[in-house]
Amino acid sequence: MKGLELVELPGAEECCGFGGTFAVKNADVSTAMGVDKVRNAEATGADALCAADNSCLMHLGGTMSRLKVDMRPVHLAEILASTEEEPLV
Amino acid sequence: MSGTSGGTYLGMPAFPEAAHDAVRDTTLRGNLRHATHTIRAKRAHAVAEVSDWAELREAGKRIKDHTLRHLDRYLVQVEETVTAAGGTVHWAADAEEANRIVAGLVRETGESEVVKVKSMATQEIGLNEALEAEGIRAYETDLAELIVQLGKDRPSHILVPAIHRNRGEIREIFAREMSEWGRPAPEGLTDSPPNSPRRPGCTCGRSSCAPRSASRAPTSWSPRPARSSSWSPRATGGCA
Repeated sequence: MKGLELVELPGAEECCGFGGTFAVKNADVSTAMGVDKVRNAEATGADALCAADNSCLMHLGGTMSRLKVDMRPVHLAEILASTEEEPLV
Repeated sequence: MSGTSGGTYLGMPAFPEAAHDAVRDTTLRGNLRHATHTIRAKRAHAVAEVSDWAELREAGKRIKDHTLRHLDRYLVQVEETVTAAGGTVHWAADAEEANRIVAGLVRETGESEVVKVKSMATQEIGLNEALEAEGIRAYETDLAELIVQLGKDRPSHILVPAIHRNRGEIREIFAREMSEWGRPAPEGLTDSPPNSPRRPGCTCGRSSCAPRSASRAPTSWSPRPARSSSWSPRATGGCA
């Protein structure tokens, strides 16, 4: 993708912790997993965190704002839809 | 008795409640992160060695599912092969009865101490606590189970009971508790695996039985006598 640099995410195979009702039934574990995921993303120094699932992105976006991490959650479709005239970031 | 029914320890809070405090324990989380990542890396390494690991896993799953579906038949078959090999099989309807049988068998030997091998079934039925109530002291021989026992703790994983402990904590547990259980912890403990706490006087043993082939004479069924073999051949094995 022109103009974008892909940075590998450490612990990419681990769940973000949302999991639908899991986030409600096990809020503490869900939050802890979300924090781990955001900290891993933060460590890459990237500007955006891309995922293909809106639930994950909602969970991680909320976690980012609470942790005051300067990074935005981005759906893969947003990257594909962006153009040079209307860039994503 | 602190043992249980249904696979959950009585007296333990519900998972979300326990997690509320546990996720704030940075040592615990660090221990688990380190241990699980190490295990996952080893798993990935092992999986990469065989091209058909997914099929192997599926085959294993099918065997387990089949056995569980026909457990009535296989348990009787195990009893037949164990009996043919000179062992004795005891049937227990629940945890209480199983504990009573084991306590009775130990008492029959005249001993008040028994050594155990790793067994999650006996953790679930609270065997050690039941034996203690009968004045019998049970000694764990599996290293992880021993760490859990000396730490007055609960196993946190079915295969890796002490996965939540780090080296420093284990050293501290042994240094604090080992002298009361046998001999004091040596200097430099946890630099290498410690010696087992076996000591004179332990003359009974019990062993668990998973996984077991019903069709062959069970080679690992026999109890593990620590010193004398007065216990053999009476297995009080698992399946409880």
